[in-house]
Amino acid sequence: MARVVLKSLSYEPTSHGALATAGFSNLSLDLADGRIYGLLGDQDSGARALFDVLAGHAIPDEGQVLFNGLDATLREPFHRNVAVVERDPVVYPFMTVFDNIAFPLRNRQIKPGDVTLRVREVSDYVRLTVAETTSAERLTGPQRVHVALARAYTRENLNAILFDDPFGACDPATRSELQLGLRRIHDEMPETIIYHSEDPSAVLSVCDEICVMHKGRIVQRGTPFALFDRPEHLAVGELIGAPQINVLDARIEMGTVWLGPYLVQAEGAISAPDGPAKIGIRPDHVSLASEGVPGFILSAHPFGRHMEVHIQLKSGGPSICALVEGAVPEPGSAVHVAFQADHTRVYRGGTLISELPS
Amino acid sequence: MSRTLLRHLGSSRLLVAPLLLCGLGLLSDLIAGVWSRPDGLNSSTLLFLLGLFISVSLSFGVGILGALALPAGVARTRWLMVGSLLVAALVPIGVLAGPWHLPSVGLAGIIIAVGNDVLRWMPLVMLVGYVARLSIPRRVYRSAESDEAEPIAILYSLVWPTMRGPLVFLLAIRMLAALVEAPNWIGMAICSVLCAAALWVLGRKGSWERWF
Repeated sequence: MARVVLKSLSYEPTSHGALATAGFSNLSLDLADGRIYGLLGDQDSGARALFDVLAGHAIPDEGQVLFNGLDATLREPFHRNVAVVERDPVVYPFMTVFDNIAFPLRNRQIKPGDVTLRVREVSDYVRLTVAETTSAERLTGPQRVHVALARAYTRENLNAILFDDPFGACDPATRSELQLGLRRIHDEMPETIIYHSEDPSAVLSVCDEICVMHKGRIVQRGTPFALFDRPEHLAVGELIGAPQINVLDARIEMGTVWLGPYLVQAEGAISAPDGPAKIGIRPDHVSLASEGVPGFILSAHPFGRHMEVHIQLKSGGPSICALVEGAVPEPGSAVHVAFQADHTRVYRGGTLISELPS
Repeated sequence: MSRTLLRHLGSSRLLVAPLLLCGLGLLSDLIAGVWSRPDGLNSSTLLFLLGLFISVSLSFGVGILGALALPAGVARTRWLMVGSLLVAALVPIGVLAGPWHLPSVGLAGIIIAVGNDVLRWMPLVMLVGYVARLSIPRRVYRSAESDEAEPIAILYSLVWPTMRGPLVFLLAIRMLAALVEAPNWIGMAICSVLCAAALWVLGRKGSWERWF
């Protein structure tokens, strides 16, 4: 395992055959060894392009990729000492399960006896349930994932293992089981893992730390809890958490935040220049109250132990969502909405500029 | 060379299969071609120039096709250069050597035979190489690269099993042709042994029914 450092990396996927659709610019990152890092972002975020650059399938326009201080920017994929497990993982046809797992070791010219030992050892770690003589063409989806995992872990002293949402094609129950399995394997064989996904739930349940990318840059890096609790960019709030974060058009005047004609904060002032802004608040921090911003209920339906209530505010803009406990008035009823101050954040240009004083 | 240029130059995976097949063609001609075609190519100037033109354009065609069709990589670019130069060097040598009516034995004879064979087989070899390249999905190729398989290893481990049938068929025809052309029993015997050995080597990793 290795420390992975990216220095001022830029890449625009214009070359023929690039899988990524969006690039990134001037990106720097320092990833410690032996941890699982998430790379989260939608298709236009550049996360996929960064994954390709790390894997060696794309050459960056500028900058460096360093593994344990050694420059690997221009190294070919087969000289990077990096394992990759793709989405809907690849197993090689015309090979048995054993041959699939042994493939990277044979490419390293390791002695047949040692190959056999290592393949069996790794098969035990990943709890492979299929016979090693089975043809790869006969494997089920989860079995293919297990074989691909075993193949990734079979080499020792890897710089990193890159996962491209390998469980994304599985059903939810299998996915959850495989994610737990990956955490267990990681505890037994710690490697530096970079886990790319467009699905927040996948990275949240597997990773120690997550880098969220938006429009070609990393907008926030933190633990799953920190990203959920204090999104520093609206894109983070929108990606993580269900129901999605509420984003409301607001304005700042003399340190006070207004939604149309209604004052949002109860006390204090924020230190931000006057002008338009956006308020971001999660549905579980919005409540129905006796006073606050007026509106009326559009709809309400159960969401776990809560009721998911959609409310149209009189200040205009899109409806907001609240997770409410207990009875909820009928749709069409007039209500007042209160925002929990310590979880109401003010953004400008997508970036967090202030929190409401509580 | 700038990174952008490297990126656009592309890879030479396409050339690996043709070059390997060229090698097989050379091997067969080392045995049979020297006996069967002592005079080499036609010595007329027109044919010489035409052959030279075709050979050079073909070899550069392979290079350009490889560059345009495939994704980038530094080592792949190196492969592309080496492959193009190799093909570009081999073919004209045969064409140039033909008109001189060099003896049909020894190095000169071999060069004539090699040149002739590469020239005649190049379109077919290019086609087979291209089909071989297409026979492996892109994601499988990328995965194999990450498993530290260099292009030749990928060719042997992943492309070869899928292309074994057509390749055996081509090689068998080539060997049969060499067998028929062979003027004496020594040539026939060597060709027969080579043919049988090739079939055994190609077939030993899989069952016959999987070939076609």
